[in-house]
Amino acid sequence: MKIDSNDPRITAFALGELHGDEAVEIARAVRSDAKARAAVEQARETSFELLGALHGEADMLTTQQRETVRRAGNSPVITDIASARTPIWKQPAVVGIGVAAAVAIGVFVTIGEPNTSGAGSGNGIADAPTPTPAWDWGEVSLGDLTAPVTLDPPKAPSANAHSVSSAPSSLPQAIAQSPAEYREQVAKRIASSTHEEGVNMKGFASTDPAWSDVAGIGYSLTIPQTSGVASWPWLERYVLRENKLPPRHTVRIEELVNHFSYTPPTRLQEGGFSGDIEICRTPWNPSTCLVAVNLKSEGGFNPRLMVSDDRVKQIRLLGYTSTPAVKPTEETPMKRASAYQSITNHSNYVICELVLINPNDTGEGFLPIVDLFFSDSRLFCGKIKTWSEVSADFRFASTVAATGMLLLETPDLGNLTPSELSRLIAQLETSGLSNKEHKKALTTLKRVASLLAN
Amino acid sequence: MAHALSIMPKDMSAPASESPDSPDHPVPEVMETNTELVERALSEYESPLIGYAKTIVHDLDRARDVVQDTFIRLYQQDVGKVRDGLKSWLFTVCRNRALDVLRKEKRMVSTDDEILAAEASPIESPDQLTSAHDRAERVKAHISRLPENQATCILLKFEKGYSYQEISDQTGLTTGNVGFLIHTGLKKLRATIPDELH
Repeated sequence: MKIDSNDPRITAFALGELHGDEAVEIARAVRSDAKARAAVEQARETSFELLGALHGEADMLTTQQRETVRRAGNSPVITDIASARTPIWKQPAVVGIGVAAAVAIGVFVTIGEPNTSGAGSGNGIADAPTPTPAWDWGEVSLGDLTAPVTLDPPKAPSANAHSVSSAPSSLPQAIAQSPAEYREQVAKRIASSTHEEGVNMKGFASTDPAWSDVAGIGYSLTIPQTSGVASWPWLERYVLRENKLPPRHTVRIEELVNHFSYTPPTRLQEGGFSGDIEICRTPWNPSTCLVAVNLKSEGGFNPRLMVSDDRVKQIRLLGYTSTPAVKPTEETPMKRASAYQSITNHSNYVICELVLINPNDTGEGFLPIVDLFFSDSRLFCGKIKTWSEVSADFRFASTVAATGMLLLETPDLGNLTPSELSRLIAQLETSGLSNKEHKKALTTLKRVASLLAN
Repeated sequence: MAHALSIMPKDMSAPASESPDSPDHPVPEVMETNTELVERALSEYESPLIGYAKTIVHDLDRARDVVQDTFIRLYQQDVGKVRDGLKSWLFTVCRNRALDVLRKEKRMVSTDDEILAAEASPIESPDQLTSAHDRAERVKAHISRLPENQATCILLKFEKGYSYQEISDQTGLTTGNVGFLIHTGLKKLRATIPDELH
C-alpha cells in the first residue's frame, strides 16, 4: 500500500507514536516503498537534530545504525536461502541435460512423497542416526536427489530431533535422518550417470564470491544452515574416472566442503542449536584470514555472524553463490521457504574470508573479530591462529574450499596455485587425519592438484 | 509569525518515556512478517530502549550499539513467538547485551590502560557548553517562528519529551491535531533551519 508523504502517520511512526495495526501498516510501507521509507527517515533525522540541539543528545539510533539493522534482515545469504529457486537444469535452456547441470544448483523447496518433485538437503552431517529402510531412494529422481532442498513442512520443533527413528515421509526427512546414506546415494547415482552430453554451459551461473565492505559500518551475516553435497561426487566422477577436470562452474565450493562429515560443534549450545567458530591466517594469502563456522541446528532460528567493523575491512563467503530464479512449473511445484518454519537436524560447515583493517592484527586482545550468536547465546572469536594450529576439520575443509576456488577460478586468490594446493594436501597427509572420509578424499585432491598444474 | 513561547508542562521533571514496567502497546491484529515486526519495533521502542541501555552503560554511543544489536537479534526470532511479548523480549535482550558490554569493559580496564588514557574526557569545556547553548537558542528561535500551536506541540514533544496523548492533555487539542501539527511543523523546520545547526 502506498502512503502519501504528507500523511501525518509518517511522522507519528518515526516518533514511535503509532501502535497496533496502524504501526504495522506504516512498517509494511517502509519495507516496500522507498518513498515512504525516505519520508520516515527524514522525519527521524529532523527529530534527531532537534533533540540534539535541545538536549545535547538524542536517544535515537543513527540513520546508519538503522540501515545496519535493516541490512541484517536482508543479508544476501538469507535472501538466497529463503528464495524459492529452481535447479538450473530444469530451466528451459538446459532441460534434458541431465546430471551435469544438476550440480549447479540453487535452493528450492518442495515437499511430498518420492517421485513428486522432492527436495534434498545437502550438508555434511556428521552424526548420522539410524538408517531408514522404509525410504526408497531409488524412487527419487536424480534431479530431485541432488537439489539442496532443506526445509520440511511446518511443525513444532522436536525436543530431540537427533533421535528421530520413525520412517520418513518426505525426502527432506529422509535426508535429515540418514545423511550418510543420502550422500552415498548421491555419489552412487552420479557415478553411474551417463547424461553428460549437451551440457549448456551458458546456463550455469558464474557468480564469483563477492566481497562485502565491513569497516566503519559493521556487518551481520546470516549463516546458511544447509548446502548441497553433489559437487564432490561430480568432481570425483570426472577426476577418478576420466582423469580430467569437470567444466568450470559445474562445482560449488560449499557442496565440496559439505559433502564430508565434521566433528559436531559443542562450544555454543542453546535449544536445538550448536555452533563453533575458528579463525586462522589464510595459508595462501597473508593479507586475509579464514573463518570457519561449524553449526548444527534443529531450525527455527538463523545463527548470525557479527563481523567487527573495527578490525575487519571486507568479508566474503566462500560458496553459496546463487543461480537465477525462475518461475515454478508443474514439474517443480515450489513452495516459498517462508511458508516453512522448521529446519530439522541440519548441519553445515561454512567458510568466510576476511580482509583485516590492520594486516598485522594478531587477533590478541579482548575485542572479537567475529561473534557467532544464536538467540541469547554468543561465541566470541578474536584470536587468529596459524593454519597449522586450527582443528584438523578446519584444515581439511579449507583445503577443499581452496580446491573449489582454483576450479572456479575465483578472483583474489593470493598465492593460491596448484603447487600451493599440493603443499597444503601434503601437510594434511603428514599431520595425520583421523576422519576416514577426509583421509580418503586426499587421493582425489592430489589428482585435482595435479590436473590443475597441467 | 514570531511569538513568545510559554510552556509550563504539568510535570517538568518527568518526560514521557517507556520503561520495562510501563504498559505494553496493543498487539496488532494483522499478521506481520519478520521485517515488518522489526520496523515496527524500531518505531515503538528505539528511543525507550536507548534510554534504558544508557542507564546501564552510562554512555549514549554504547547504548546505541547495544540497541542496534538488540534489533538485529530480533530478526532471528520467530515472529509468532515474540510479537505478543515484544516489549518484554526487547528490554530483556537489551539489558543482557548492555551487561555484556559492561563485562567487556571491565576486562578492558585490566588489559588496556592505553585505550582508557586515550579516551576523551567526558567533561565539556566552557566553550563547548556555550556553543551547545547557542545552538539550542537558535533552534528555539526557528521554532518560535512557526504558528503558535505548531511551536507549542514541537517544544512539548522535543524539549519536554511528551507523548502525543500528553500533549493533547496539556493543550486540549485532539491527538490527531497534535500529530498533524507536529508533522507539518517538522517539515517546515526541515526547510528553514540552516545547515550549520544540523
